[in-house]
Amino acid sequence: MTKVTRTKLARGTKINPDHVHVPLSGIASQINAGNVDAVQLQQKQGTFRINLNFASIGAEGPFRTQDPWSVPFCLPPLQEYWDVTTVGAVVGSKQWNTNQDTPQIFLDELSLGFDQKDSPAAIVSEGDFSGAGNINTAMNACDYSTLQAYDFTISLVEKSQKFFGGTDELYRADRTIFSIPLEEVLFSGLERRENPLLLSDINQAMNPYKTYAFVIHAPNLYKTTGMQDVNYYAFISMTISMKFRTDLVRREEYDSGAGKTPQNFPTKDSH
Amino acid sequence: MAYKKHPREITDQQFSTGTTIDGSRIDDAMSDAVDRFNDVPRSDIATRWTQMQYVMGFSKPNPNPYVPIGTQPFLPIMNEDIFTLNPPPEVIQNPWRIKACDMIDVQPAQAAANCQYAWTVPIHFSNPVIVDSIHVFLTKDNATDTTAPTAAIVEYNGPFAYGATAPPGSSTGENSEDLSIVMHVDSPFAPEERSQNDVEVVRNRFQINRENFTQIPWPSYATSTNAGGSAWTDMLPAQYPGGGPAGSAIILDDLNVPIHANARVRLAMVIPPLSLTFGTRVNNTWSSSVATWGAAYYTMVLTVLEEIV
Repeated sequence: MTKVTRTKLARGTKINPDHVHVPLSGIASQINAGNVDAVQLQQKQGTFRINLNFASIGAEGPFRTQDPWSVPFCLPPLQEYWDVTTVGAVVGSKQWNTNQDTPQIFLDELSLGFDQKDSPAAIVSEGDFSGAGNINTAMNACDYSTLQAYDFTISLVEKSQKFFGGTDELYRADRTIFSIPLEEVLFSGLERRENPLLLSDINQAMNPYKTYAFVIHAPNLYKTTGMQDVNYYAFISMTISMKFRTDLVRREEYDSGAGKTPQNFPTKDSH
Repeated sequence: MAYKKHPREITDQQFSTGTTIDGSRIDDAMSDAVDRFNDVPRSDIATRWTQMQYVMGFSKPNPNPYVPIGTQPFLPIMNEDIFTLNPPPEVIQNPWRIKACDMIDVQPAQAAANCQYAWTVPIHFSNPVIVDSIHVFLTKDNATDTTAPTAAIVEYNGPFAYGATAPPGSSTGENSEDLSIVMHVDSPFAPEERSQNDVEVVRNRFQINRENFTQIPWPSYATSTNAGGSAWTDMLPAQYPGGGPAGSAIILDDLNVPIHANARVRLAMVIPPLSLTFGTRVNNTWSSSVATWGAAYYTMVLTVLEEIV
């Protein structure tokens, strides 16, 4: 559907009912038919989020071996915009395609927060790592003097999908969208702590045919001789929210006569 | 006075009895109408809110309450010297972390032995949102077996009833009222002083047992059919072996709570003192023989509405 147009009334034009009726009836018909497109809106984009919550990310995890911790995800296009072709001599080789109609997705902001017991302190983990499965005798304690455990880095990385020919057996990232070191000073203030933390105006385009991973690298959670060697710590109730914005699109329709039969479309309403 | 929409929202031109009419005014009116419709402002769109769900959940790795398990992500709702790793600071910030949580017979002054625990989720909203609902689920796959799932399907039996030392005003076996759900927002002027927080949603002193939901066994593709009477073809899940879901669902719907821009929201679920390992209170069943605390699966779902941009 296109925008409503009208005939301008130049000086000396004889006024007819059509000069008023045509544009107004055009507006009315578009509204009544539900055909108002995104191009006719001031706000042409909507938002969606990927929200992650982890009850406890502690020294028990990959940080014990100084490895990063990742959460992979992808943002596949809506099914009417799925455009994949088979190309090349290799049987099954796939290639993704985008064009100017493919809705673009941008990462706008990211928030990250965890429970510090509302204190400028690091929280002691519940494991004692003695090998006997015992509870840490200092579990839940606030460590006000050593927040080194909360020196960590957050990153968002991108890699090609194996479906489209990604062959790296080590699953290394192709591109880093951002990588930000967060220092303990952000979480140790008495008057203000950046918890939850907000990273805004990121404005990074996301590829719907790539795989992304949100990465946390917090090697100081684990007690290691020569590094942080006081106790074992944890991020309690770590909550990450990635806010994306994308173009508004028309609601998909079910019209078997026109060949529009989206998969899993609810069939118990009037379509 | 109640808000009334301006009568000339689309155009300033007014055509009524006693006014003139000419081509210029008609042209201006049509221009205003068409321009507005071709660039519809946000305020004209009824469906400008997008529903967002924050789903939080966890289950303790050890479902057996008789071996030591940690409390995390539940943390004490107090900050006190006894909860610090040496050395404690001169001043403990936020001795009370959560306003408005209230449980019968919990004596806050006896902090060491009587401390409640809270699972708190912090979320930052840069733009205004509307909190639509908060759902809290306390569920188990199988209520009678605390060590491993079995095929038997039974009703959830988390008792949530007071034990032998029932609090004043209650009797043994009576439904307990020892769960609080609080959503509060940090003060923009004292963001680290929880005593200054705005409490936006709170639910206290309700009988958890009154919120139980009926359990229905999970279906499997082998036994269930679609509306046409034939087996599902696009999903073939095997039946989950752990039994049917059962538990309590605390539903707070249609809240319609506006949250301002740059708000730091903290959603907390507060449970009573845990008597098995921490503290001494035994008048609740959160840590009793049926393992309400250790074997449950906890879920909180926060639904907010965000505007198009």
